[in-house]
Amino acid sequence: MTSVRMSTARPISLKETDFDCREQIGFSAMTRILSTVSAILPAMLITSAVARMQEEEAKTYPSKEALEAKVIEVKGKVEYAAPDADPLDVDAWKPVKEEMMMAEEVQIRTGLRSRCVLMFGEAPDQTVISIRRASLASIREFRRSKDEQRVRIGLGYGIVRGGSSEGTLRSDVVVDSTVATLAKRGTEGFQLEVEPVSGMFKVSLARSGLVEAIERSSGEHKFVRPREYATPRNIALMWVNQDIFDRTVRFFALESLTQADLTYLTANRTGFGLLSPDGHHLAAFAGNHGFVPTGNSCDTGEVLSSEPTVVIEPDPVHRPEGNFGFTATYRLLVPANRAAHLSSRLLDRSRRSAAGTSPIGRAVRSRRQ
Amino acid sequence: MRCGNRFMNEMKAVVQLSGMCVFICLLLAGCSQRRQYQPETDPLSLDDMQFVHFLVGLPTVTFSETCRAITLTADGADEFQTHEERYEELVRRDVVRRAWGLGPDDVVDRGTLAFMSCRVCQLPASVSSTLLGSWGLGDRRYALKQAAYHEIITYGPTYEAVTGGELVNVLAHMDEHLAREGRYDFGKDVDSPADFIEGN
Repeated sequence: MTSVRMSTARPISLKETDFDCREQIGFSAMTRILSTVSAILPAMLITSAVARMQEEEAKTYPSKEALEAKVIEVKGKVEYAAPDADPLDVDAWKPVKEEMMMAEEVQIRTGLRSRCVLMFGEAPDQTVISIRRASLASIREFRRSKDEQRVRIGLGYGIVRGGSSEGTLRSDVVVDSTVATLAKRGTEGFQLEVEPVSGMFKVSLARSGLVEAIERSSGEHKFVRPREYATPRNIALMWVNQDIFDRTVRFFALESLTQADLTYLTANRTGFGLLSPDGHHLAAFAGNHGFVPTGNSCDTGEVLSSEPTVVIEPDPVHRPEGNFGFTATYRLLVPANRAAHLSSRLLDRSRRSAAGTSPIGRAVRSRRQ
Repeated sequence: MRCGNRFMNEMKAVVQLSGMCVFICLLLAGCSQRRQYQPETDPLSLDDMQFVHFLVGLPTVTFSETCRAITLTADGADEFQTHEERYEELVRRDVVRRAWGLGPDDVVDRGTLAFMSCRVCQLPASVSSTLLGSWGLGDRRYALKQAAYHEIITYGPTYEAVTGGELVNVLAHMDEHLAREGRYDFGKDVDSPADFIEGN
């Protein structure tokens, strides 16, 4: 019986007298109001505090403050107009002169043998944009917040190139056109070229940094590194023409090599090698015909301590094919007179590992099992 | 019976001949196509700057418009009043050839534009272009290959009509080439804040 009451608590209370029922409803409503108020009040207090902080912050750093770009160089014939100006309206277009300030939404066009250079911001957070010959561009946005300087350039057609330096503010520069978008990632010498009407475009990077080229119709994107460029064609084909297929990297297991193989590979080196993560031991060396892992990496525990290795360059060498799970590649020097010694040591170890008496052999065997 | 076969063979020959004639007529008509589209604005009323930006909106460009644009690129300004004056000057410089027989309202194709750009930019001629193109055989086809190699024009069919946008793009590339070759002073490229400071 008790269990029945317990399980039907709500229906029973509703079957009680009206007074009791109302009292219970009133109590539950009161509880609900109190709990709601107790939940809302701290939230309101926090919101007001945050708002007050934001207000104070906004006084110090106006949020997204609209700024004007300065014209620092004009060559040839350059004109500007309001955003909705007709391209053939003579009166709407006025000549651009040096030291002028350009606000947001202003259109700028250049003739042949002409260019216009705009400077956004002040040192050290500067972005310089050069509108090249026969181009139509506009300043879509130039705003600054407490930690970011945002520049948006619209390119109708022609060429826009530029670069920026970052000081205390993060520089967010995007050159946008109807067909492609160039997003800067800390860069100098980027360029977007758009052919009118046909929609052909080219995004290039001349000096340093990284830019992202985004094709607007398909949403495909490609990162562009120095001295590279991206066009709709190579963006579309980038997955088909994988660069990693351009070269073949061969690895040889020590166990599979004869004395002659090892002598040949150790004598014919490229000068590159892979250092172990601690940077003290040779993990593999790159022969002209493949990599030979020396097996002294941390997982095996074996070390060729007497190996005469000299690191020529302290910084890792970029290898386009990648490191394949090893550590970074370094330019190494192994003296030629030590090549025979090195190969015989490696061969001894491979024999021991094949016999299962070395740490490598044990490791290989345990992996197989 | 023999007479009937002979008649049929003669008829076949006549049909083939007339078909060839029609094909040749179509080809000839295709070679010198007049532009049907007429822009609302008269290009002669526009100054040099407006003219360049006016070209962008044209679906095809005429020979007179191309001559003016090429003169503008080569000299930096267009001093001529009429198409005839401009044409004579371009013929004198061997930028255009009379043998093409192009009228002022004819649509310009990619090969013709490439030839003009090669001559203005003084691109080095290939062996084939020197041997054959110099007396007119395939001159525009070889010029297109040259211009495309120097990234002045996008490669495509020689006979394809050029749009206004393409023409402006070619003008910009020609202008860049001329500046790089030192044909006029364009100053140092500024593409970084450091360049500006160094420039000062």
